[in-house]
Amino acid sequence: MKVDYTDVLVVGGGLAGLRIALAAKRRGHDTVILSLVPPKRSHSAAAQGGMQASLGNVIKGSGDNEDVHFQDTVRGSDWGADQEVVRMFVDTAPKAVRELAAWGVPWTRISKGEREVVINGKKVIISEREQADGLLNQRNFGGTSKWRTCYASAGTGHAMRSATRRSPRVFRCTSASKRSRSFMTLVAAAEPLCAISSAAPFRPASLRRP
Amino acid sequence: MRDLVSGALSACIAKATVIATGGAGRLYRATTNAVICEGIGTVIALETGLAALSNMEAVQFHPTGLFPSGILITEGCRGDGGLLRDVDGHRFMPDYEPEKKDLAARDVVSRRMLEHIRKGNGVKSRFGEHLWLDITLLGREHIEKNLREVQEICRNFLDIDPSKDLIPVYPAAHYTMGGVRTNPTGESPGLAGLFVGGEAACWDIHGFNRLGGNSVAETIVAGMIVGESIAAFCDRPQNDLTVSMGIIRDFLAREDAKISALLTGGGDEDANLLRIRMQEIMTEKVGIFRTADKLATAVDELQALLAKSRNIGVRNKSRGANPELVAAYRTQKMIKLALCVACGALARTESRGAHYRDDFPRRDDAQWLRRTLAIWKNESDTLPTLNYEPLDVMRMELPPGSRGYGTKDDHIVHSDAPRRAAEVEATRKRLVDADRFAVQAALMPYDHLLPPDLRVRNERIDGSN
Repeated sequence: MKVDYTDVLVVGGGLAGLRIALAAKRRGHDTVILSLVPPKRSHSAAAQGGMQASLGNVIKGSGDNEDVHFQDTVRGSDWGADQEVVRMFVDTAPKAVRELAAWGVPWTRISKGEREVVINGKKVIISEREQADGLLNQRNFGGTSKWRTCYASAGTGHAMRSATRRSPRVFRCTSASKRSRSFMTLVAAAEPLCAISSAAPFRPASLRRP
Repeated sequence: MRDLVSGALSACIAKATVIATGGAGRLYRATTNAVICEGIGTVIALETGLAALSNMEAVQFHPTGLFPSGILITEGCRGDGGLLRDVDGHRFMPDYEPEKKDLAARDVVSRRMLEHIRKGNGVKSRFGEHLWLDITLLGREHIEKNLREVQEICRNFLDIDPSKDLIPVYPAAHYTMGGVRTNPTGESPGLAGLFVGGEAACWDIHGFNRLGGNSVAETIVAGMIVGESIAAFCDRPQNDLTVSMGIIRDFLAREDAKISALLTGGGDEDANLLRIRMQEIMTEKVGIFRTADKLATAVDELQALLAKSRNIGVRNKSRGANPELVAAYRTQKMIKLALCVACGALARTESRGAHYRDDFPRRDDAQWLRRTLAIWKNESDTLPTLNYEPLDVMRMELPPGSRGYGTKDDHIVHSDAPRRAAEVEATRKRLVDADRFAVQAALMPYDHLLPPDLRVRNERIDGSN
């Protein structure tokens, strides 16, 4: 039988899988990504509108911060969410969007001065601040009290995925694999059938217990 | 794992295994999701018998899926000023949602759209009824700059120009709020070493409805946080792995036998027909508006499908590249997931977020402020086993209240809610001169859950935090 060993096996080569693999690899753990399709075909690429981060760059988002993002998200969840995890999330979202900017995502940016937007069916002139010039732009989205969705036109998922997939080169990792030149072994066109688990049911168990 | 080209089975043994396989829109007929989004990774976790799936009944329908294909037309269209219109060209959302109008949460907009169609205001077409999304008022320049992909999709798939034409839209299954339940670290409480991130997880950021823009953010944030948890997990010597070859061999043999059963077991059910039937049942009976009798029928019908799926036979007998074989074993897994959704929905006798019961329209915090947990105990079972994990109101920073959109607030109050609300109010009064970080920390400390490197304040444009 054929058995491969690694430190971290990531099933799924979309945005989450790629970013998790990157984090593990940066900390020195061998990582294999298993993807049903080549990662550029992962469905993450179909995301269009943007990602929320409480930067408060646009004038219609000024005053935004983690507290507001937190409240919008918990309300949106109809109180089903785990509020501690929401706090972790809203804290980290600005860091995530800025990291992606550093990796080359072509986020739509703000031009200072006046621009025409449509609010409630009417054309309105708003003015972006001088100090916001060149910073990440943010659009309105449902259920939010401030404009906080950062976007790359309407192809945000595609842009994010491209940058995340390319990012290993930023860290100059070398590959141990002779087969591929990417820094982590990526097995495409294979899919998991089951997870090996060996413990009695009805109690938590680990893969290590025989 | 099975190599899709050669058909070879192999095992991959890792200290930490991560499921990051996204959602399961393809349980439904009309969905924004790609054809590969069938929830298979989620089911693999379920089939261990140890990892629980949470809130599978919470399925988000996106208001503006292109009609009839279901391809996504982003909420950014409405964010940038686009409007929903009915057969008379009337902008109807303000009639239902005076405050948020076209930008209420997605579950609310989807329900209002269907309500409006039920009242006879839908646009009739040969594929059924739909409504319009109007972004003509944004102007060609704006669309080509900030909604470029929408223009492309409209042109490629419908041959229309959204700068001058109205876009036909209808709610489509879009996002799976539910998923494999994890701790804040991203690890499954039921199976050590199993981590889940992104849409496949119920971490749980989104509860019963997700805000637009929060999922894409979740993927990278989960990558940053759960990735660090995994690295820390792998750093610990007690997590070094010893797995017996015997166990690996047994699992490989078991999976090989399942494939043999499909190829040569003499079964006569057609996987594609079963999958189409499953999608019909889900769309008609486990959709946006749910009732006990439709849900109960759905559970019965899905169970019957599950039984049939154990008798699938494929005509192409190749063990190598064989899409028919792939569809067969994936369909078997999908039906289990559909049952988790339907059973969870039937059991939850309240409405919350995207889960809406015509027969129980009120949100019921007294009985239902809790998370559904579904376990599939034995392979031979025909139903998931449901349990519940209550939410702790006394630890909430934001005690339960009204969303401010959707139905008028008449939710049934949780017994702890007034006490917690008073506590929060008192703390805020006491700390009225403190900064917002001190207030937050007093209400619900969470910093300790973040990886150390991420415990940094975010800078903002005006120099404030």
